Amino acid sequence: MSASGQAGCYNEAAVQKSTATLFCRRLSRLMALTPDDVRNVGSLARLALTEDETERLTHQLNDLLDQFARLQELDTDDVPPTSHAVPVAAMLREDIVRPSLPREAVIAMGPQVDEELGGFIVPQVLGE
Amino acid sequence: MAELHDLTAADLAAKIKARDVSAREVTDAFLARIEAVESSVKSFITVTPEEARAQADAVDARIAAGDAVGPLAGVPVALKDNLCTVGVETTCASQILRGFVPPYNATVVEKLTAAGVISLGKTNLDEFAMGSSTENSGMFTTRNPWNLDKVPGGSSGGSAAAVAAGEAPLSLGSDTGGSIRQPAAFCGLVGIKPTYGRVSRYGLVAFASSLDQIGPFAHTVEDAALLLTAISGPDERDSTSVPRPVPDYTKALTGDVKGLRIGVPSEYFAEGISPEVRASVLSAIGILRGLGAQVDEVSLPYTDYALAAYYIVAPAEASSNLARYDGVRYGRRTERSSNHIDLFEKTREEGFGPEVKQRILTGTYALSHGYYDAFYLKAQKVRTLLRRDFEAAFEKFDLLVTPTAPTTAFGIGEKSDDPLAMKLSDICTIPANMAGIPALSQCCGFDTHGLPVGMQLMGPAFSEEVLIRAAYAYEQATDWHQRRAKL
Repeated sequence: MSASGQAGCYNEAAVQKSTATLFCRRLSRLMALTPDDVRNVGSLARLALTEDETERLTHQLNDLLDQFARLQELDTDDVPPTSHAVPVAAMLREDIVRPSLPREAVIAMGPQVDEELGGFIVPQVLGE
Repeated sequence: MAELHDLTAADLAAKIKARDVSAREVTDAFLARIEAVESSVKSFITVTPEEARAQADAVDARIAAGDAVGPLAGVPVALKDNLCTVGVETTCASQILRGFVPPYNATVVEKLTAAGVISLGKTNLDEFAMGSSTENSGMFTTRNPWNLDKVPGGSSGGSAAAVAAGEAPLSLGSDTGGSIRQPAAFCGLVGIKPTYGRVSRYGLVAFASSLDQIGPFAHTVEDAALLLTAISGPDERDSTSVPRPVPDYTKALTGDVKGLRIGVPSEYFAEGISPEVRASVLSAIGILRGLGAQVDEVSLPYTDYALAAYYIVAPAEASSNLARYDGVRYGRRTERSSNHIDLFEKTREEGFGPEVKQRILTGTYALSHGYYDAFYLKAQKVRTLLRRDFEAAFEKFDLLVTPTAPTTAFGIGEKSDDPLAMKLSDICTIPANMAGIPALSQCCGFDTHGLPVGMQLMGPAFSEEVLIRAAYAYEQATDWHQRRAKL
């Protein structure tokens, strides 16, 4: 976690507050998603957006939400959800130790790596 | 005499086995065809001539030594560029994966290599398989060999165009909401989306894990059956693959549909389906009836909700799957970052294209706290209703016949500014993915502009043999599959 308190990776309280607000807006249909809402979702997805993109995506997401609203016509209270269409138990293999990919092969594609230590290099995360 | 690149995979395999022609000569013929037409069709992101020739020589050596070789030995294939290939760049047509060379092969690639099938290269797609035209590719747009001003369909448009253009006799695509069947329809080919779990997804770069399946493109039902047999089967590296023996699908090529019960769902012939497509498919159903099938109408009342449910489920899964592209372990990394959050956000901003960003945001929103029940859970419940629709229909029918897409191939640029119109292109194919059932598209005619029309056959889980049987019977009664695009 950074010294400023501005998110290690995920700020639970802020996320809950902002998304709950968004939800009420949608349900009451007082207003559609705003560019600020879209920027907020972008930050949850760790995706920076330009001004043009934010405008385009606000428009597109609102179009999609209008489509999704149709699903509310259906009474699904007693319908169980389907997460996988073909109901089979997950196939498990024998729990036997076997070789994995060699470390060199795995780090070979990293944009910045330390071949000697055998790891990926990232910007400083702790104690900024 | 027909040129090698016009022949079917079955004919090529027979010639190779009889030593009328070597695997090397066949491979060279297709590489020459790629050289000749690729600049106008643009099917491939990467062509691998050296690797292909080396593989072909190895097959020829095995045949010369008298070794037993599989039914497709020496036949070339093109691979959608979301299938991992050792030593060959795998991009998903995304700038974020530019330069990524996988350290392992997809299971289907391993199976084909072991079967002596020659890989010619990697084909274009909509970025991360998200789209219906290849216009969302982060590289370039592929053209339809039947009319170069039209799209080949998508997302597996490069794989479809490669076969339709005679650049490869076979190819593999992936189908999450129609990405094999719709381009097969637009390019006049046979395309199969197998039952979920029939083909291992190991090494297929994930888009929506509960919907994705790999499947074949071919000129004929026989060729598609050969390729499906070669790639199917359980895999301990994909826990969702189903432990069920693989039949030899070519055994289903009997030509007999007597007594087969075919349902025609009225919802798939409603408003929005072009009159020419409707007429072609209905006439094909008439031919199946003439061959002895029993045809009757059926209703799948929840069909209309499939598109909305899909556009919650698929982006939700995609937003999670695509979280791995963060500029740390592979692919592109931004040069503008000042800290680690910045690194993720800017890498993804620079690397992803507009459609992918839209789906990541849609999925993130649908899964976020407070919305989960209203969107994702609701969509999963609707998915159950869609599944029950099919279950009820399959109590009375062996298979269902519908159009594959509402129209024939549309113009390049025609729908690229209208995402909703683009998505309607998948309205007939999405339900099969939501229900996990197998579906096949085949050519059932041409419209007045000379563009192929696709017909879709859907059956219950693991009924691929029934689909292949019916499709083969129809194919034997018609000659659409013998036509080739003129380039």
